[in-house]
Amino acid sequence: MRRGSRWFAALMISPTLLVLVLVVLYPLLAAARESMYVRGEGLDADGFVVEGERFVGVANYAGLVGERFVNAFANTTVFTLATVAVETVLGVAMALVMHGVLRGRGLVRASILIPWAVPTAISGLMWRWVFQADGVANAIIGQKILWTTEGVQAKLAVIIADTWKTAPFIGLLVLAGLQIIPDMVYEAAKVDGASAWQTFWRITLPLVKPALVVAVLFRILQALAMFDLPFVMIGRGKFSVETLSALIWDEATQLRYGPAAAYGIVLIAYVSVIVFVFVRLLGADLLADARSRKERA
Amino acid sequence: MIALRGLTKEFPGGVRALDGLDLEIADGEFFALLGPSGCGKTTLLRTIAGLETPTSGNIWIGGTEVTSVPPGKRDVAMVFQDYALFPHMDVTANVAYPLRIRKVPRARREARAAETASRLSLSELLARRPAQLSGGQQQRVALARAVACHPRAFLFDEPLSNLDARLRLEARTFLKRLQRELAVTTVFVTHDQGEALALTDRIAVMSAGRFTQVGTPTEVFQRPANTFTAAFIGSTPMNLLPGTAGDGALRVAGAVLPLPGGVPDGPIVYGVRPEYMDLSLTPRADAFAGKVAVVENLGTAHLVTLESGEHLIQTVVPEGAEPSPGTAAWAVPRPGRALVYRDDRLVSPCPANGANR
Repeated sequence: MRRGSRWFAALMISPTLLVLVLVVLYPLLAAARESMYVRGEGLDADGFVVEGERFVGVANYAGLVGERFVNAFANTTVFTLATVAVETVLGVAMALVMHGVLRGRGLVRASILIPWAVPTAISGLMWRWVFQADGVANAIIGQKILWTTEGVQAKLAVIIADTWKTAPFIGLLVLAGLQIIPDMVYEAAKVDGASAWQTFWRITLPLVKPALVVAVLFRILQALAMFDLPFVMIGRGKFSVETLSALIWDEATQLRYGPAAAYGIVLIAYVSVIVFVFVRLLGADLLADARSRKERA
Repeated sequence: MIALRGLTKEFPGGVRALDGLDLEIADGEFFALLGPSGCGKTTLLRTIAGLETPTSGNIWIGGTEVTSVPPGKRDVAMVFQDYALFPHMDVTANVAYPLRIRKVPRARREARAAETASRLSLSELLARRPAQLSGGQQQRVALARAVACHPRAFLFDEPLSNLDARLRLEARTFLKRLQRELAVTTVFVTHDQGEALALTDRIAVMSAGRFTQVGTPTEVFQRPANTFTAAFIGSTPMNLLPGTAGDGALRVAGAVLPLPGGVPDGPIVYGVRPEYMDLSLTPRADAFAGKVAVVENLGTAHLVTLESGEHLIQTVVPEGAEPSPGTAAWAVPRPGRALVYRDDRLVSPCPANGANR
C-alpha cells in the first residue's frame, strides 16, 4: 500500500478507534490503576470519608487467596459450567422443536421464548416465590427444602432459574442456524439411509455448529458475569451463591475500591482465558474454513 | 427394473401431482421423465425415491415391492438438482457417506471413494470442501456419491440444469458414457427435451400428472402421439395449424395439401416441424403463403417466421438462403413429414408404410 493511502486509512478508522479508546481502553487502564491504590481509608472526626489515595502495589490482590474470593470464583465457575452445559442441550432441543412444528408454529416459538423476554430481576422474584419453603417446588417434590437459604440447594435453585431463563436464547440462535440448512441435504441423507440419530450427529449438529458456538460463547460471557439472579433470588452477600460480580459489587459499595478493581481485573483475565480456550478448541475449524476460502479468492 | 402400478399422489388441497401412472423401466435402461415445470416429474422421482408417499398405487424396484419402504432401504441413489452435498465434509467424506451409513469399514469405504473419484476425474480434489469446488466439480461429486454405493437404480433430478451451457454438453456426454459403463437403471428428470432426446433410451413425456407419451427418443420426436408432445419436443416448436380433411385433400391455412391415407374427413390439426419445410419464393398451391415477419439466426441455419393470415408459420432455411423480412414466401412441407391429429390423437400413418401421399 502506498504511504499516502495508509495515512488516509488510519484517518478514516480514527473515529472508531477513538471511541474504543474512550469506552474500552480508558476504563480498563483506570481500573488497573485503581487496583493498585487505596482510597477513602476510614472516616475523619466529622464522619466524612477521608479524601486522597495511596499507592499500595499488589496489596489489593492479596484477597485472591482469601476464602471469600476463592468461594466466589468457584461459584462463578460452577454456575457457568452447569448452566451453559444444561442450556446447550435444552436450547438445541428447543430449536429442533421450534424448527420441526408445522402447526401453531408462532405459538410454540412465542411460548419457548417468553422466559428470555422476562427481565432477570422479575424472573428472580418469580423463582424465589417458586422456591419458598411452602412454594411450588417443594409441593411438587413433596419435600421441605429451604431452597433460598445458604447451602447447595441454593446453588441448584439458581442454576435451575438461570437455565429456565436463558436456554431459549441458545434455542433462538440455533433455530436461526437450523433454518439456513437446505432441506435437500436432509433428503440426501435420507436416501442414503441415515437414521434420525445419524442425521442429527453427522449432518444437523456440524452444520449448526457455527451458530451454536456463537450462542454458547455469548452465554459463557454472560454466565461468568452473573449477578442479578442470585442477588434477587437468594439475597445479598449469601456465601453459597456469591459470584465474582457480586463480590466486586459488595467490595465497591463498602468503599473498598482497590480490591474491587483488583477482582475486576482478575475477572476480565479469567473471561479472556476462557473465551480464548473456547474459540481455540471449537472455533479453530471455522477459522480454517474462512482462511482457505480467502486463499482461494 | 422399476415398475409403477396406478401410482397416484394427491397433495393436501386436492392437487393431483400424479394421476394413476403405470410404467415399467427395464434393467439398465436410461429413462427420462420429461415435461414442463409443475407436470409432476419431480414428484414422481421423489415418490420412487421414497421421499414422498403415494396416495394410492404401488412401486416395485428390482422385483421387490417398495411402496412403504423408507428411502434408505430402497437401495437407490439420488442426485439432486442443487447436488445436496454435505458442506462440512470433504469430497472423500461426501462420496463415502452412504457407505459409512452402511457401516462399511473406514479403509474400505475410503478406498472405494478414491476409486470412484478417480473415475470421475476428482482425484485432485479429495480433500476439498464443496464450497471450494466449481459447479461442474460439485456435480461430479454428487454423481460420485451416487456411483460409489452401487445402488440398484440412479435417480437424477435435473442434475445438469445448474451448469452453464458448454459444461452441460460435456457433462451430458460424460453422463451417457458413465451410465452405459455401469449399466444401472437410471431415471432422469428433465424439462429440457434436447437432454432427454440425447441421453436416454426411452422418454415419458408428462403433463398434469399423466404420461402423454412413452417411447424411444425417435418415436417421441418423429411420431408425437398428441399435440402436447408435438409442441413440447423439438428445439424449434412444431407448427400446429387447424384445418379440414375432405374431398381427397387437406385444407390448412390457405394451402391444399395431399391427404395421407387413413385420415377420416372432418376437422384436423396439421403438424409439421420447421426443419421439415422448404421455403419457396415463387407461388405454389401445396404450400403456406405468407410474408416474412422475423428471421432468427440459429448459426448453421435461420428460423424464418411467416405471417399467413392469422397464423404464424415457422420454417428453417439453410445458411445463406434466408429471405429479407417483408418479402412474400411460400413454406412447402416435405412429403411424408406431416402429422395429422384428430381429437388430439395422431391419425396419420407411419411414413414407412408408404401410405402417405
